[in-house]
Amino acid sequence: MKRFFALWRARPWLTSAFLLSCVVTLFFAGRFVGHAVYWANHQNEDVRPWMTVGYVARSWGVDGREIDALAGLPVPEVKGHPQTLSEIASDKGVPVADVIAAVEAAVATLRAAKE
Amino acid sequence: MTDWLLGLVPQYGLWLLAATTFLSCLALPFPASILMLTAGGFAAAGDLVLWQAFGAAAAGGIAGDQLGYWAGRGFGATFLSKLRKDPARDRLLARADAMMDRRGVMAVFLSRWLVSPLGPWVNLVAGSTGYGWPRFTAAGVAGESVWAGLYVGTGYGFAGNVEAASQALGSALGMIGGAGAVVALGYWLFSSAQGQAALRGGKG
Repeated sequence: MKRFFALWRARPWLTSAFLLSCVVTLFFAGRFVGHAVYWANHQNEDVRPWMTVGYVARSWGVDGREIDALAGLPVPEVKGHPQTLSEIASDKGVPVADVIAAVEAAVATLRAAKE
Repeated sequence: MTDWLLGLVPQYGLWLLAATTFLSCLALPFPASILMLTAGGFAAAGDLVLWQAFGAAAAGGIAGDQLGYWAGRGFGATFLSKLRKDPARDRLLARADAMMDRRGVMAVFLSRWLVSPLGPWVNLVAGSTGYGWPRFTAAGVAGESVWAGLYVGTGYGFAGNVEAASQALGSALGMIGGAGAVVALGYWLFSSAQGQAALRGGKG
């Protein structure tokens, strides 16, 4: 400790900068661990209009094609590219909130069946 | 705008990704990082192919770097002095300039991914000061690959939670940058004559 004070007296700015960068590194390390732990317990992301059924399925750990079947949605092959929920909604002529609700209900059913 | 862009990823996927990283390397405010994370998530869900998403993101960035570099070469000094009238840009450019002088390859490499806000300015400075093209390109390709790999890879790994992925990656980059500063400052401090003298208990 004594030596450290001697160091600090000899190079005050450099020593302060060194300590500050140590603190910053520890801060980000702590934040990183916090996020990792949080993520491990909260992997599921709320269903949004920009998501595809596959994305929702992956996030909630269920089978996308089963969501399609339960919620009455078209399979991706229909248009040749994966469709977002908002695209499905506008093709069906219904509000995107309805499609989201159907997908959420399907996810809830599938997850209940798994447990 | 971000939600709207994200919705276009499954449809226009790779082109959109490449265009976004390209534009963000020209200092235009496009949310390249969040788009790359989401593309990784879509890859995990099977809506995109992982290596293609990575390739598109890296290719867009590499092309953007080249445009910036050649713009710097072409317009050179006149263009730079115009940009420098804005004090905030002048500060960024001065920092980029100083980095370039000391260690160009590291500056180009690190300004692709660790301190990416500096990237576009490093490109301009590199071009206008006549920094060697082969060195610039080699460091640029390596840096953009790390950038694309980090973001698309994290999106893939954190599949289905873009927000968590974004925060975790932000913290990880902060940690890497901080650790780099600790090593550099520590080396400077402990290897300096005064530091050595102080540690030995003598007077500095």
